[in-house]
Amino acid sequence: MTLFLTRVLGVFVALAAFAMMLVTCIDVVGRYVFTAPLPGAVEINELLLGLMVFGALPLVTLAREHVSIGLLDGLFRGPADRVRQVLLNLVSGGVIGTTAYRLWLKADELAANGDTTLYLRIPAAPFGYFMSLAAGITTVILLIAVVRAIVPATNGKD
Amino acid sequence: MLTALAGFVILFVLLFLGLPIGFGMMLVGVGGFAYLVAWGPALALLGQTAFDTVLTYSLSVVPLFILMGKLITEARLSDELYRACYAFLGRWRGGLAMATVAACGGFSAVCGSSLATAATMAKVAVPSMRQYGYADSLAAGSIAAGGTLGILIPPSVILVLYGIMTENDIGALFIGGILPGLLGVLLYILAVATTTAFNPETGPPGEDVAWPERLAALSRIWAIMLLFLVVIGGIYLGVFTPTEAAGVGAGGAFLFALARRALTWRILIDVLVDTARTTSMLFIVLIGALMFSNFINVAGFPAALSGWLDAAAWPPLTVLFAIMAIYVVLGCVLESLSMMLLTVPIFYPIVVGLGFDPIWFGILVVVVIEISLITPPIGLNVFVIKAVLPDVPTGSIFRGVIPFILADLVRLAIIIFVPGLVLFLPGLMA
Repeated sequence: MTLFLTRVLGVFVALAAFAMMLVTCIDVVGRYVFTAPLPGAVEINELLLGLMVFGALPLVTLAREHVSIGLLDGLFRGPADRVRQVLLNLVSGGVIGTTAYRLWLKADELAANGDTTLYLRIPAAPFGYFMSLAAGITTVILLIAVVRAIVPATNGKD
Repeated sequence: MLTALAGFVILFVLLFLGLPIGFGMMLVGVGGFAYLVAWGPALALLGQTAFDTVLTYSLSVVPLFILMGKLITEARLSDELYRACYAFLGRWRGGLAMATVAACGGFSAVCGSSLATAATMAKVAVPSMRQYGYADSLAAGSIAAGGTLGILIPPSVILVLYGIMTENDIGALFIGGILPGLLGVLLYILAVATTTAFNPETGPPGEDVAWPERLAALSRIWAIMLLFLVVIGGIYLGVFTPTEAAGVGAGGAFLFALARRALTWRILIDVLVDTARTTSMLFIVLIGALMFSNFINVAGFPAALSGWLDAAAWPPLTVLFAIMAIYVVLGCVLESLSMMLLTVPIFYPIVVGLGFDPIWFGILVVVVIEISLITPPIGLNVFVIKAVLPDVPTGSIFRGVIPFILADLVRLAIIIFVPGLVLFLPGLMA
């Protein structure tokens, strides 16, 4: 399950990053060489950025790559450290879970208003739902980490 | 004021316990705002900020520059860069460490991250320094310090974020970083010379290289020079916006990597996924910082601080030195990105209110952040080196960076007293 998620999201965000590079280059070359810039390049880049940032969020969380300092974490050993881990993951999950919920409400609002991008008229709501969903997956990942820290795995199944 | 201070204390405790910085700032930012106003608007603002921040066109410059740096790293242009610097500097006492510093400066011209610069150059420079019997402290110190130039010599992810947060021209900030960056290279070379003058055994000279070979080595780094000229030159001349320049730079780096057969599908996908992950990591911190700075603004902290400073009627330079001192201390316990994002909303209005130039202050902040990357206990560049060189004790790396920290303090003083060093080049822009 985890492997499937990393693969699918990995290919997805890789495509977004590559597309962003391509769109910018086509726009610039088009403008200077063919005096024909790519219509809506700015909007496409914005949407790709949103997909990339939230699409990669579960990956960052799975790999525990979030920027942190933890000057005092050396003070915690054994069970105390496990309690610390559980609390940190709970708090992180709470924060990102709340964000997921608020993004969903935001997307509902965009859908209700029929909001689109200015130039290409791309509906904005699906992007909001995507971000919310990705943040939701991240929350689940953090909560699974909490459960695992409390109930040590008895079998090797993923 | 008291609420803001309580917010800072709670935030620092959470961060020191190991809570991811972005989540910690979101939590305290939303909680503090809710305490001062109400939960409804606080939570609505969280959704709005998260949504708006990731859909900001000017911020798409961030992943594009990250991608450019990663592609250049894969293209292994760093080897040629080091050899070219060695050809010119290698024969001096400490010459290999000098070449390392110079190559870091060169790599910084196509890479916007200090950690990436340090990690890349460590792989290239360490084997030859070890071969010549360099002391681990000098070898590691020169890479850790040289790597910090990544965020000052354009392109720079940190300068992009400073520009966006303070609504200053990113192009002007980039151009303003060039001369202070070169000064950094020069002073680091002097630091190496001084260290090896006192302890010649730490850095024996390498072999002399004849002029024809020197020129040949120099000609092999045309790709890096071309990329820098197109990207930064394009911004300087107003041909590209920073985002366009970053896109073209990433595209160019992609073509170089292809031409050098450095890319397989596997590597390309890894580079792209890595870029997205780094971007995502950065944006979580950014969203957190926006929530937190909104809270301290509503709490009236920057205004109170300004009022208090007005009442104290300190001379502007005294205030500036106090701010720099705070940065150096904070730099010991905070990580670079969050340090910039947390402090700039507080200090920027004060400094600009005192009549200092915003571009100059941006460069100054980046230079102090560079210091924070190599100061104990959590100099991130030191840990990057530690990851590449697990057998070198952290203590001797920190000992090795001391001469470079002194060089940084000298550079900071020069930039403070000679603002023209920063402002000369941007002043020439259209």
